[in-house]
Amino acid sequence: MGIVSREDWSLHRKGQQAQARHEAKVKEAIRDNLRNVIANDGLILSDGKQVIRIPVHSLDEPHFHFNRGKQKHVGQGKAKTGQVIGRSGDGNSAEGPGDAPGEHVVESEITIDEIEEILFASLELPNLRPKPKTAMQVEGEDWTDVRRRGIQSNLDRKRTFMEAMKRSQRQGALLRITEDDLRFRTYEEVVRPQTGAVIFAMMDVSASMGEFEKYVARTFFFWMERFLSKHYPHVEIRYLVHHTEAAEVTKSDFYRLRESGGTKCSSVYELALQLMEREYPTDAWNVYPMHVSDGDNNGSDNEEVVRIVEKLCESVSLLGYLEVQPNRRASTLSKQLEEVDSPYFRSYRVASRAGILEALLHFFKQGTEGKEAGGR
Amino acid sequence: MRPDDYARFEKTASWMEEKAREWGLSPFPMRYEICPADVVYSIAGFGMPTRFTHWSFGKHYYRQKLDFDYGLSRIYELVVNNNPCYAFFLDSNTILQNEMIVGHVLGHSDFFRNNGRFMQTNRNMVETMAATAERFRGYEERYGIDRVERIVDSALAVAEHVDPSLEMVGIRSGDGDGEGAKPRPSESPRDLLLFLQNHSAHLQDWERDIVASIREEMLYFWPQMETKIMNEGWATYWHTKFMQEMDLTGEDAIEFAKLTANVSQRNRFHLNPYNVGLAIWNDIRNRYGEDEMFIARESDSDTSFLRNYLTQEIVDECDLYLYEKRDNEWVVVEKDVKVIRDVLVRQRVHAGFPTFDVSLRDDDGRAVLTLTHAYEGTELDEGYVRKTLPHVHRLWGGQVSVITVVEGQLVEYVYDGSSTTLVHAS
Repeated sequence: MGIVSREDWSLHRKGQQAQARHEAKVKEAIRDNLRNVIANDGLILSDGKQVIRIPVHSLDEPHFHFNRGKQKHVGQGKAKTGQVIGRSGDGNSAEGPGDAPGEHVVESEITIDEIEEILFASLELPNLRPKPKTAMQVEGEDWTDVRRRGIQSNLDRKRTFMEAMKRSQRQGALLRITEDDLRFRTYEEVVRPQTGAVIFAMMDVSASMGEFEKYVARTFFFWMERFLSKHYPHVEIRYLVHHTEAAEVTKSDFYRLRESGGTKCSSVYELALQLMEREYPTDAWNVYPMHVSDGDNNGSDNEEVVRIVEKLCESVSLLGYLEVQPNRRASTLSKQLEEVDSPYFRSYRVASRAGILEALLHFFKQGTEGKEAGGR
Repeated sequence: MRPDDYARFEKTASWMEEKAREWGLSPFPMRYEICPADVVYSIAGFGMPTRFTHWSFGKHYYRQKLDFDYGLSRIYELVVNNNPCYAFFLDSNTILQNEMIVGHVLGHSDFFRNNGRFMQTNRNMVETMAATAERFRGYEERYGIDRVERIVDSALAVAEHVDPSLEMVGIRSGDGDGEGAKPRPSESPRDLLLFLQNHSAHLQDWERDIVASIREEMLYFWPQMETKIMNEGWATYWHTKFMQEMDLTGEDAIEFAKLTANVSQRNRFHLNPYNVGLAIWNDIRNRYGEDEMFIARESDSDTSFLRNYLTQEIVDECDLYLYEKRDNEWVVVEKDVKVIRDVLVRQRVHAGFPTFDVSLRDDDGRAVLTLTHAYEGTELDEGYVRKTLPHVHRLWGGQVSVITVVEGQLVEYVYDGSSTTLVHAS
């Protein structure tokens, strides 16, 4: 009769290895597509709660196919002639018979954590301002490594057990934990800014700011807040809107409000200045005012804006001016802002959703060069 | 399986093999491998335990593994057409499940060995694929994983465009003498891979070897695609007979009934080959006797099997229907055997893939590789024509095109290395 065998398959990793390669390619596809991924509606509008599905074309396995929508197919079940058994797109690829082009596109599910991992790898916190030592430093612990020696309380039980399993499998022995199997976690002490950070989200809500401009703002602030949260133990965000006057509002009003009439940007910078002086002493806070505007401003106000911006720059960590301009023309305001001579001021112009990534990369990088740049 | 189940497994396997011979089956010598789920799913993802590695196999492995982890599905059987014939069993299956699978794989093994379509297949494919994988690994070391992967991606994209009717190359003698040393069989306009292998001036020897190896593997898998309904039905017929012979009692009988119900489950969008295949084999036995079954098992493939034996009674018994898309809905349109049979047979031509005639056209001194779709009333998926052409281009190294019919118009998609243009052919 045939031979029955139960080999030791513990070293068989083919499936996992091929899958790891597949996963790496998915990540690569996300990286290539990052400017669209970070501006995904579902993700931004759900405040990052939603797992998003993005089409990853490179992971499709193309073949010459018939157009399934124009073919007859065979199925089974108690159904009468004329009965509808499904709708196009039902149950997607798993069950449905597939459809016209596009339906076979591989949709890869990614979580916000995965996007962050890729996005934040290319962002940096611009120069930190020196803070008084007491407020600045905290001794944190980063569990960074696993070693064979350590103190009992740092014993990594899971890894120790795995080692014991692997060794006893190799030796064909009964499971027993020996000294060699012990694994300890070790940590490094790290210095982090203990101070908090505050974002002053400032936006023009005059009539000229449409849905698109607000979406760009929303997306930008979403990632900015998450990025700063990676670096500061405490991050606050305050929402300031303006037309000819400025006011603090709630987050939902911030993206909803729309006022008719003119625009005076200096009003919101003034409000930011007051807020900072009143509530965010800069020996304890890193202040990040960020203004989103379409550049429409009352011409006589521009100089005042520059004056307050320069004043803010004496204390803030970074002051950003993000101009949303679908027609790609630099506004008078943005030209005026070029006069600001401070490493703490940066400005950028975006013309489309795809430009949000470049904007993030521009504001959050080390170094002080290139405070003005045109955008996509 | 519990530790004390292994003895029972061996006993049952041995009894079934004996019974099989008694009933006229002649399977290959068997190798039963009992292994963890991960391994079974990995083999299923690759299609073969020894095959070269590719990310798409990892993707399939992972999907099946997820379904398994969530309890959505179980691969019931995994069997390799090879002498000896390898069958893989989940160690987490119950003993009764695995006993049933022994019966099932004996049916497959007999079918592989005796069905006419399989006569030319390489019965030493486990070793051949291992050698291929070894060569591919060598290429990866020499030329880098990305370059190798690009060629594999492209060759897999057009792997169905082979001509199985060509006289097979046969079993590779020894382990070959390295790259590109395969004998060249006579050509067929239908065999794109062979054409590229022989005429693409752009391919280097190692790349040519990748194309040739993928073609060889496709030709090995081809008969399984052509006999899916027959083969699954045949295996199900025999495992049922084995299990009935075992005189199951109590819990075992109940479990077997559940398993049978599982295997024959219907899907509103797909034909279940276990269910329909078994119904046809049962009908043949009832109407013509077991001898006729053995004749059909030797000489038919799915197309002739369906043409010869699918009846209105079986269509009704299995609740088969045709459906099609109307606006945005899938609607049942037909339950008549004649129409269903025609559609089934037509869809099995070339295993359900479109066929093309390969030719060269001179375009200002450049040789354009042209694939002319053998249009028989069903249009191609345009999105996929556009996505697949670049792969043909990568293997050919110059301009490529597909000529087909869209809404009654003869059209040509031309890909020049950067974009696809659609021209209305005259």
